[in-house]
Formats: sequence, C-alpha cells, structure tokens
Amino acid sequence: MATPTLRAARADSASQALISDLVDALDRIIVGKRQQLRLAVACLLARGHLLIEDLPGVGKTTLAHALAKALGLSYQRVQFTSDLLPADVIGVSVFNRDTGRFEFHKGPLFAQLVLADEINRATPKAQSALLEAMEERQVTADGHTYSLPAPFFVVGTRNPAHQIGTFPLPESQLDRFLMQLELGYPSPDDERLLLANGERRAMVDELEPVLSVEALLRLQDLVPHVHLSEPILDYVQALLAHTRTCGDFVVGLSPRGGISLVRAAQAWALMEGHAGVHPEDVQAVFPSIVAHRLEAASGSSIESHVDLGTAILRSVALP
Amino acid sequence: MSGAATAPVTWHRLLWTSGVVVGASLPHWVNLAPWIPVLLVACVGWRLAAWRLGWRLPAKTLRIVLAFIAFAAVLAQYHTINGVEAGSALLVVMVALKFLEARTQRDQLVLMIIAYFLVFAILLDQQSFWVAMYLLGFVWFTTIGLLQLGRRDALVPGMKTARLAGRLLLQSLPIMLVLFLLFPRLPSPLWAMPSSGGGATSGLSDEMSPGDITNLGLSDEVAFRVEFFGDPPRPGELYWRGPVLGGFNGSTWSREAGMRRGTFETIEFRGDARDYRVVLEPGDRRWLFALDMPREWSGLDNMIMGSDYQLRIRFGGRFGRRDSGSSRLEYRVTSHTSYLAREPLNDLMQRYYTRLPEDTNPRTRELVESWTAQGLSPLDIVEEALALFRDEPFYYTLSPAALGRHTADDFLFETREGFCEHYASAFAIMMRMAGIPTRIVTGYQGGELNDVGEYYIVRQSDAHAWTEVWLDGRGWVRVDPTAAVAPERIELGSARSALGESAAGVIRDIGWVRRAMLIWDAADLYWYDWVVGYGPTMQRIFLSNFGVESPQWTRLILIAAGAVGALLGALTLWLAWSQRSRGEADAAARCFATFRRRLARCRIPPPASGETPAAYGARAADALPEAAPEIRRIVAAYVEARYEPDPNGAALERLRGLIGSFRPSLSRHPNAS
Repeated sequence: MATPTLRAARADSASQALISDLVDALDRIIVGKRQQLRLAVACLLARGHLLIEDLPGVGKTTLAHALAKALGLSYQRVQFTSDLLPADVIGVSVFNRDTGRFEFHKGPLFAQLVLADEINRATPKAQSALLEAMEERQVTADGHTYSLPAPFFVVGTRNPAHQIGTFPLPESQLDRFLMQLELGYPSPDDERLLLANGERRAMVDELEPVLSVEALLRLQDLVPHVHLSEPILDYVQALLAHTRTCGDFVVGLSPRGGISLVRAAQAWALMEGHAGVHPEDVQAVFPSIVAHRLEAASGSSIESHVDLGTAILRSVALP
Repeated sequence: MSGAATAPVTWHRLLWTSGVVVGASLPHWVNLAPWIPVLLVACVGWRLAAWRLGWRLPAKTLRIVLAFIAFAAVLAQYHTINGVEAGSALLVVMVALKFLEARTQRDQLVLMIIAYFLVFAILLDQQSFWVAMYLLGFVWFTTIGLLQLGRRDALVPGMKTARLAGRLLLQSLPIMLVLFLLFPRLPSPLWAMPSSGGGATSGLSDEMSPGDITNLGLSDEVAFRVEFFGDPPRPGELYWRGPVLGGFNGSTWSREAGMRRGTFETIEFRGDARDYRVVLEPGDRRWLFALDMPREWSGLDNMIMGSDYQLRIRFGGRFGRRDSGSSRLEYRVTSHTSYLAREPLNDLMQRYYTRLPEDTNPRTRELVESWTAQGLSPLDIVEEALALFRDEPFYYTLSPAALGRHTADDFLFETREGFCEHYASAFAIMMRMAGIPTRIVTGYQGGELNDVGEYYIVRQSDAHAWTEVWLDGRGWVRVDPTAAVAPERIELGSARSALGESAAGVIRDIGWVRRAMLIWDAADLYWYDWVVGYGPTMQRIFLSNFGVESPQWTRLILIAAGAVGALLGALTLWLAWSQRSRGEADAAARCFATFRRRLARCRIPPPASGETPAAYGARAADALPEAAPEIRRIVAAYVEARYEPDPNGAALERLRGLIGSFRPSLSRHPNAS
C-alpha cells in the first residue's frame, strides 16, 4: 500500500518492554496460560471488557486480581447471586441526617477493575445494570450522572450455561464483552508447580505495579491508530461474510462484532510491535472474539472438537 | 482407473444419464415406429438392472450384432436412413444401444452430448410453443446432468447445480439472441427435407358425399387462425370460402374439372373493407381460406384466385397441388362481406350448373315442377325452398339416418334430418331442377373468438357447406339453407350451438379449461409470430433498421460472427479490466504471487486456506533450508509492503528487488521434502 497514513502508530520499544514485563509478571502467577494472558492484556488495551467462561477454581478470580495489582488499578469484586440488586452494583443514595440531603454511596462498580464473578447467576435485571454501565462507562442514579473511572475494565466470569441456577446472558449483552477466554485446566507440569507453590493470594498481594495508569492510558489511546491496510479490511470482511453465509451459525457476526475484531487486532499488533495489523494479529484474536458471539447451528459441518474461530480461519482464504 | 474420464459410473450418475436420454427421445416418440421406444426403454432398463441386480451387460460381439440388426430394422421400417423420421429413428436406436455399453464417465458424457443433438432434431419436425418450452426445460435439465457427471467427487444437491446450470444458460443468452437475429435465414431450406407426406391430415376435399363433413365436424383440430385489423364482421358473415363444387353425379358433388378464366372485374364490392391475416395450420395446402369476397391478397408467392372466387397457390402452373408442409403459412387478405358477383354465365356454364342425372328424385322433381308451373320467378323459388326447410319439421343433427339412391327424395320427404351438407345438397338439387344455376361452396363458417389474443380460431369442427345460386342481374348469391333450419349454427358457431357436440367440445365448455386453452392458443400464436415466423423477410426488415440492405447470406454469417466475436471480446475486456483494477491496488500481492509460483516449482504447496504469508514462508524456509534467509527477507518485505504503512513505496521496491533475484532451485536440495 502506497497510501501515506499519518495515523499509523507503533508502540515504542520501552512500552513494548513494559507490556512484556506485565505479561511475565502475570505468567508467574497464572502458570502456563501465556496466550490467554496476552489476550486479556490486549482486551484491556483495546478498552474492551473480558468475559471468562470456565469451571470454578481454575484461576479466574486470581487473574483479575493479579491484573489489577500489576497495573496498580483499584479493584472491586462483585459476586453475582440470584438476589443481587442493581443498587448493590451501582451504589445507593442514603439520607445524611447531618446535611439533610441524600448522598450517593458509590457501589463496587466505581473501581477501575471490576471482577463481576459468575454474572450468569444473577437475575437479568442486575445483569443489565452492569452491562449498561460497561457500555456507557457512566452510571445514572437519582437523576445524577456519575462517570466511571478511567481506565475501566470489567472482567466477567460465567459458569458454563448447563450448570444449575444460571440465567443465560442474552446475545445483545454478551456483545458488550470484547473477548471471551477459557482458561482450562493447567498442564500436568504446570499443575505440579501450582501444587508445590500453594496459595496464590500471597503472591498476588506481593505483586508490584509494572505499568503505570498513565502509561496504560497512553497505550490505549494508541490502539485505534494502528495502521489498517486494505487487504486486512478485505480479510476481516471475508471473515464476517463467511460467518453470515456459510450456514454453520445461527446468526453471523454483527458489524459491531467486526469493529471489535478490528480493535482487538490493532491492540494485538501494538503488543507485537507491528507497524500495521498483520493477518496473524487478526487470527490471534479471532477465536476469542467469536467464542461468545457465534453459536453453531444444528447440522453445522464444524466438528465438535474444533473451536468455532479456528474452523472459520481455516476456511477463509486471505485476500 | 485414476482419471475422471475412465472413472466407473455410479448409480446416481446412471440415473441422470437415463433421465436425459429418455427425455431427449420423448418428443420423437409420436413419430417413431412403436418398437423403437420399446427398444430404448428396454436398453435403459437392462443397464439399470445390470447395476442394481448384477445382470450381465451384453458382450462386445452381441452388441455389434445388435447394432447391425437395429440398423437393418430401421432400414426395413422406413426404406431409407435419410430424412427426419428415419434419421431420428436411427439416432434413437443407436443411443439405446450406446447406453448398453456406457461403462465409464466418458461414455456417459458422450451420451449427454448426443442427447442435446437428439432433442434438437425434433425442431426439424415441430416448432410449436409446446416443443420450445420442452426444449428449454430439457436443455436446462441436461446441463444439470452434465455438471453433475463432470464432477470428480460426490454429486451435490440438485438445487445448487440447477442454479449454476441456469446461470450458465442465462450467460449464453446474448449469443443466442445474436445468432437468432443474424444467422442467415434462407427462403428455402438448404437441403430438401423428405417428410412423411400424405399423412392423415384432415381438411376439406374436392368432393362431397354425405358424411364427409360430419367426420370433420368431430375433429377439434385447428384449421387456421385469423386476426382482423379493425372491427371483425358479425359471426353470421364469417363464411370462409373453400372448394366450390359444381359437378354432381347424383350422390357426390365434385369440383369443376378443368379450368376456366375467371371474370373478376364484374365483382362489385360494397360496404366496409375487412383487413385481416390468416395463419394456416400445417397440413393440406390446397386451399387458402378467405372471407367472401376477397379483394386484395398478399403474403405468399403465387397466390391467385380461381374462377370460382377461391384463393389458392399456383404451383408450377398447376392449381391445387397437394403440399403438406410442416410449417404454417401466413397471408393477408382484404375482403368485403357485402358484394355483388355479377358474373355473366354463357350457355355452356348455364348448362353445367343446372346439370342433374336423369330419372332421380322423382318426388322432388314433382314438387319443383309444381313451383315452376305457378310461374314463380327464380327468387321466389329460392324463398319457397327455404320456406319448406323452415316450416316443415326438419332437424339439424350430426347423426342422420342413411339416404338411398334418391338422396333428395329421401331427405326431403322421409328422414328430414341432417346437417349442412344434406341441406345444401337437397337445396342445390331443387334449384337445378328449377333451372337455376347452382353450386355448392364448402369451407368454414364462424370461428371461436380468442379474446386473449383478439383473434379467431377456426377449427375443423367449423367446416360447413352452403350454396350459391346464380340469379339474372344479381350474379352469384349465397344461400345457406342450414341457416333456415338451424340459425343458431350460423350465428353462434358450431362450438356454442351445442349441435356440434363432441367429447373435446364438452370439455372445452368448462369455464377455466376453455380459458386456459385460449391463453395457451394465444401464446402459441405469439410464439409463431415472433419466433418461428422470423424468416428471411422479417430478418431483412430487421437488418434494414441498421442500414444493412438485402445482404447475402455469406455477409450475414460474417455479421453474426462479428457480433458474437464482439460480445466475447467485450466480455474478455471487461474481465481483464476488472482483474487489472484489482491487481493495480495490490502490486505487493502480485510480487508475492510470483514468489509462490517459483516456490511451487520447488514443490512447495501453495498456501492453504487461512494460512498467513508468515506461516507459508516458514513452511517454505523449512523445506528449502538454503533459501531460508532469502525467503524470510521476502516474507518480511511483503508483510511490510502490504500490511504496514509504506508511504514512499520503499518496502515494495525492496520486495521487487528481492523477488527479482529470487531463484530457488530444487536440484540443490535433493532431500528437501
């Protein structure tokens, strides 16, 4: 492409080293999940929110907490239960007898990193309170609008839908999460390491911030400026078109899904130090972008043991 | 057994071929000797049984013997292998035998191609709208079969292939149109097409004995169609003149032997002129039917009017040669339904038109003599005779009792039932007895208005006979005695009078059936007008719009070839242009394509679907370790040039340089793979 672009951005080597350090620090705590950790960081850089779907006890909470510590972010955890009310998340106005006025007590949502644990255990009402705040990055209570802090990063976890007592999240709300990751069981070696070192909590507590909030915000600002070439846009379009026309999925990817894919690929390219988005960058983030957005239709030709994203990547040629 | 061409057939492919072969021969079945379709079905059945039930296919020697026997049988049946019928018979027979040895995919493809040829051969015989629709559907079907058969692997769902085949056919449409419009139309076929000839075609003959027209009346076949330019006449005026019969031997009326110069200048045309065109069905061509009384005619070569005001074609100086052509004839006529034909009759003709056999019909003669004894004028005698039919209990029926030797006596005094020819014959006998020159005119009366296409359909069931009497001072005057007995036959037409009831007529009277048949008939006529009728004349008119005046057929072929070439050229240019515009934007991609081609020569498979350039490069570098550094540099330059900002094209330039000098060779890496 001979088109000059002034918006091209590339992380300087210092920031790249910092990102690398961040992933290393997390890797020491969540052992053997480097790819997932990198995706989580990319998600954060792309100003997206992260959804982790997995069984309890594989380190979802630890990951969120470690991320907050390593970035020096304020951290709150909300355990979603079936009796959770929207006010429990957003905050509540309380009458102050001294001043004679209602005062808004900010809820746990006002942290920079919020772990929304087991969101599909809550009622749809509480779920939507969280998801709306994620989208708007502000909260309105009693006629006042309160901005949420920046950066604002929600890590939601959900149990596999077949577990008892879950309210499935509607597709439109799932779309608010940029990526969905699965952590999965550690490999035997890694598990042995985990068992030997014992409690992770102490390690998390000891974690020193690797990246300042200012540096993080600056990197987040760079992401949308990573160069997108025409062939890459063609490729993204081909992927979107395939999900819509191949007939393997109930519904294809939405344009919003496409924007998410581009943004995540830009964040990945930034982490890789690429001056533009490479096909590999798109491919790296693609499975986590589609994991919660696509549902295989009955009679689909995709084999069950291959994840949807990989199957699509295999069948769409690069332009 | 590796290539697709020699791949053994599968059951589904066999079914496709069977369907195509049987379908291609289907339109020929009506023309073929019955044993030929039977042979075809038997061969197809044998082949299918061979697959399903494990029957043995005939050995080679048996097949050769069978081929010779079949050839001899066709020859014995048709006494020739030339011509439409014998040719298609031979083709069907040989297809049937070929089917027996269709072992490989290639054989089946050959059968499919023959099927195209076979099905189009029907056009030599029939060009109706039905046949065209069948051909269209069948060509589509065969193309689907061809696509299915050409596939290496399993058949795909029919609908998908059907759409593809449809698209292919639509893409060929412009070329079809160009050839249709421009391919030379010759006034006469290049080759003389021997046709069956003398087939059982119904129509009016030049003789009339009681019963003849009844048989016609039972036929629902279309005789001709008429489109009026302007207001049509009343139904009662629709007398379509056919053969005129002046000779009578006591039982049979026949046409004048020998020819007479006509005297047409005495005809006085009155009232409005009726302008119309007639489309005559294939078959008997002796008579060109026209409304009484034609003034002008055009549209066919050698159209003339006989002395008895009957239009016909003069063939090589002879009148009324039988020519049962397979295509329709069309001509235009202007007629006046109101006229006076004041032809003077000389004594000879007076005698001819009053001649009767001696000593027949004594009772009738007695009656007529009682009229002449009263000194009645000829006009009064005509009225008297018509009054007899009107007042006495005469019945109009299509199944009258048989008449004896004295036909008029039997009819007038005994049976008193009959139809047009009985009345016309009896009336003419009475007139001749009174010395009034009289002749019988046969033809058609009425016709069914097709309000879909605004034209009249005249069927064989509309066949009719009436009389003309010559009156001094008035000339030939039409008198229709049937109208005196059954006026509804004349005013309503045979179809609606319920008198000409046949099984087909009853079915036709069901409202929607009738409607559907009229729509169908109109579609067929339009088809004839716009497609089949596009002959040399229309082509000349069409081409003159573009400044091409009366071209030679060689020039037409050049124009057609030029137009097809221009179409294909434009398509090629368009494809090239669309490819080029894409390529321009992606110079890097083209460089990389060169890179891939060079690697392919070193047996590096091209990138798999979804394989990124980097992954492909890594694979190639692994396979060609000596070229690995170069490959890595090229891939890096390519990724940079294509996916990263490259404002001054430096990366592209570097990529071009690297590709230019990149010459990987396999010989240096014998163990590469």
